[in-house]
Amino acid sequence: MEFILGLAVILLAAGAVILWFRLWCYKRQIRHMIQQLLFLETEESNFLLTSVYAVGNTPELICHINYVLGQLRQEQRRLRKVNQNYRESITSISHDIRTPLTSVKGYVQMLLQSEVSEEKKVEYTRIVERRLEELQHILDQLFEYARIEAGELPLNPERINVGNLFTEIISMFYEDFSVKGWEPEIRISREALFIQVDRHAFSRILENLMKNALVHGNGNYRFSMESKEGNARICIANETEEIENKELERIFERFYTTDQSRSRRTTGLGLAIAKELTEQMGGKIQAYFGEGFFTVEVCFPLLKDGVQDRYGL
Amino acid sequence: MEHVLKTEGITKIYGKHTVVDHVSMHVKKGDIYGFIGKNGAGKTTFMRMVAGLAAPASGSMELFGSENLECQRQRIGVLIEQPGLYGAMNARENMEIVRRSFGIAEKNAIDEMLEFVGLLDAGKKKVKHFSLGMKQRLGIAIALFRNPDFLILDEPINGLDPEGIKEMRDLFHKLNEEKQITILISSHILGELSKIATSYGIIKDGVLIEEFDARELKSRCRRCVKLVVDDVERAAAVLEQNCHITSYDVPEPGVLRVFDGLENSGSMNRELMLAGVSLRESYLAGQDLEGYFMDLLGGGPNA
Amino acid sequence: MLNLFRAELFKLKKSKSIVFGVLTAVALLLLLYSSLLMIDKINQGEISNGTGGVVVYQQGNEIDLQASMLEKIGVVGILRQMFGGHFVGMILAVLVSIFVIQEYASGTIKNLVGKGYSRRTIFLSKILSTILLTIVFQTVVLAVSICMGIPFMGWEVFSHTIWKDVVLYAIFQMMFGITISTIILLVGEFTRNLAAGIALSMGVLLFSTTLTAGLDLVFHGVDFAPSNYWILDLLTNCPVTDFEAEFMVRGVIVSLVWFVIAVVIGVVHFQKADVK
Repeated sequence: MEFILGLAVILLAAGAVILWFRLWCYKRQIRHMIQQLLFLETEESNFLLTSVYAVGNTPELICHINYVLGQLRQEQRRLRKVNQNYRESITSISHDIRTPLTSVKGYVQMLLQSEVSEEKKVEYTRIVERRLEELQHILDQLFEYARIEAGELPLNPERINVGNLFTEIISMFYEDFSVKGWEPEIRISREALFIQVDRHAFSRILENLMKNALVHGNGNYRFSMESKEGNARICIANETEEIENKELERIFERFYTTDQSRSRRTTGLGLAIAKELTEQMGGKIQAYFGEGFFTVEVCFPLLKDGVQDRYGL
Repeated sequence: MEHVLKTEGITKIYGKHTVVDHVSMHVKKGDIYGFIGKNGAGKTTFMRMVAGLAAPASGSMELFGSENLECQRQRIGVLIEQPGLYGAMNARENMEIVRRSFGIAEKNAIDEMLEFVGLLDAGKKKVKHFSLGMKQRLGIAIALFRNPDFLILDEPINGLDPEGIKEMRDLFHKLNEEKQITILISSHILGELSKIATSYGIIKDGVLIEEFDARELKSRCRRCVKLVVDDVERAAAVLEQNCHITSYDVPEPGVLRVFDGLENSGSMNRELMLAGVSLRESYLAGQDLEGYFMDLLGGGPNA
Repeated sequence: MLNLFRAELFKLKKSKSIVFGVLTAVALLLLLYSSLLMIDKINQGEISNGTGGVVVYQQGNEIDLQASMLEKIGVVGILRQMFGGHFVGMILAVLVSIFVIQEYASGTIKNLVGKGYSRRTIFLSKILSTILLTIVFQTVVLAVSICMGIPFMGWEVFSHTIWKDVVLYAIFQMMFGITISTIILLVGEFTRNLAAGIALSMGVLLFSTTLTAGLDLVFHGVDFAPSNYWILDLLTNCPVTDFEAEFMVRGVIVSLVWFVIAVVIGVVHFQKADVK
């Protein structure tokens, strides 16, 4: 009898000690975490919480807190990058505006000089006009980009025959291509492919891509349109020197231009606008380089109501 | 807190030999600090003192603006000479020991880190069978495991192949940019260091002779006309008035460096001689980094 | 410190040296038991002895050969040979030396020092794990010694042995063992070289008692016997039966004193010394 009593007492005592020990571990663990969090409140650091007494589910708690900390830091990083981008954009814009303005100033100064002939004055004035038009164009594009990005441009999707629209746009630019001395390779599928997009926006996309190809290409051009895996796939390619992957990654960034093109007076917004519009209308856009050609590919989902031959046959 | 590491007069004496002589180093937050010196100049010894492995004979040190070194050392990652690894265990077990020692709670932290350094498929291979490159990578994994804010690396690219070196370089760059990790790195491969370093510290025979940032280095290595004359002030006046040169400096007594009008060195020479300035040498100069450092260290960094 | 201790546990678990240590101990036990069995068989005339005769000494006294050696010496005798005869001590010396010195040889000590833990904490965690190693190893050897008696002496071994004596002996050996392991840890910490560390530890283990015996003679005049206060002497002279209170008290105090001395010197040295 006493034996059982004695055993019970020992067991109870042991239980009490174990419980007390666990409590102590919890207390120490929490104090440790508080210390570490205090440190993190005052210092910007990569440091994450660690466990010192892995009691109960405190390690899980620590993992979750660390996850939140990680998210916070990622956000800070993103913000830092955004700010940096912003600064770079402003530098870029001011440069783009300053250049034509400087030119205009120069010519105006010349105009003010009395020794200039009437002929020259007319010529200079025309140049000033042109430069101001350029400036206007830059500012327009900027404004448009801002509106598009903010989603303020109204999009009215309608049923568009891709092949027809594409052909129209190619013919718009045909003269510019022939002036360069090249006959572009054109492959447009005979099927009539229909997609649901805003006519203006879609034309814009194709125009921007064509312009980009014109400005940067130094060789032949390839345009194609076909149906692929339920999408209408349009490719606009221009021959050019090798483009590194690093640059390809950034090609759709606003204001991004490869170094050589700085001199060609592009704002670097053409592709950015194309990308923004494409994605807003549910399409996909990507760029790649292969076999000497830089290609931009745009895909939009096809409307399912059957496909007819272009000529309605 | 502007400086991650600030030392003041750190000295180490082994027997009669002063290996590190009153070094006062300043490593700013966000720097990649290239620590350059010949073999035996005291780089490793100094870094071991910063890492807490050896105690300085005299001098003081501040980490992250605080003198409480023991507490702040939790934020540093160290890889000095060979990484400390248990040869009879595999990569994962080595990482497990580090994980337990520091109480890292995340269960997949080891896998993530091994993947980050590219050792995930090392499997059960024991560390003693690792190649040098793999050991270095495991060493870096251990140094990075606690998410440090400051990395101290002593010759981390020693013994790596060119591909490995490029990988390391990209890694350091990424760590510095994305995670804002400050890096103190010593190496004698100047070409590599110059690609990523933002600041430099030159140590010679235990003394930190110079500390400057990358921009200044570029300007010091600029192309210029170097004129060795007997009367520097007179020469400077002549150049300013007769040749309209304003961009020049005097790096040492008797030497003028002209950064302007490099094509007209002939007319410079003529003007100086006409004015009676004794021109001893005149040559077009401009150094690459190796040349600059070799001059500073006297006789080449790879002793 | 708990984290460090957990890491040490992992290292112990993964260590192959411990397995080898246990196997060596088992082999030695086998040797001991087999020798006794052989002697008995020779006495009973079942085996012829090439050399012409067997003499058995126990603690300097010749034993009457008429009784069964296995029974006479028994489990306690085996234990005394294993522990008091430094078999266990030597194996432990090697194991502890490896455990400590490998951190310096492999450079892994660099991963711990200067990372936020104070040097004292690191050293103390090493001591804790050495103590654990000692306790576990000695317990294993004890258990195997007893269990190995069964095939050799049959099940009566359990009735023949005085368990209270065995338990007391084991406890004291464990106490002495912990202190000695700590001293070996200290030696390892000073030498930081495996060959030197093991050699020095062996030297301490086997020859320090000779030194104290000599000191006994020196101090004979003042009636002071250093060998009564040196831990290894106590280990060797630990009785297997009839424990006297005086011995027990002296044993506890001496163990504690030397343990504390070793710990203090170790911590102080570790705090000051540079890590290569």
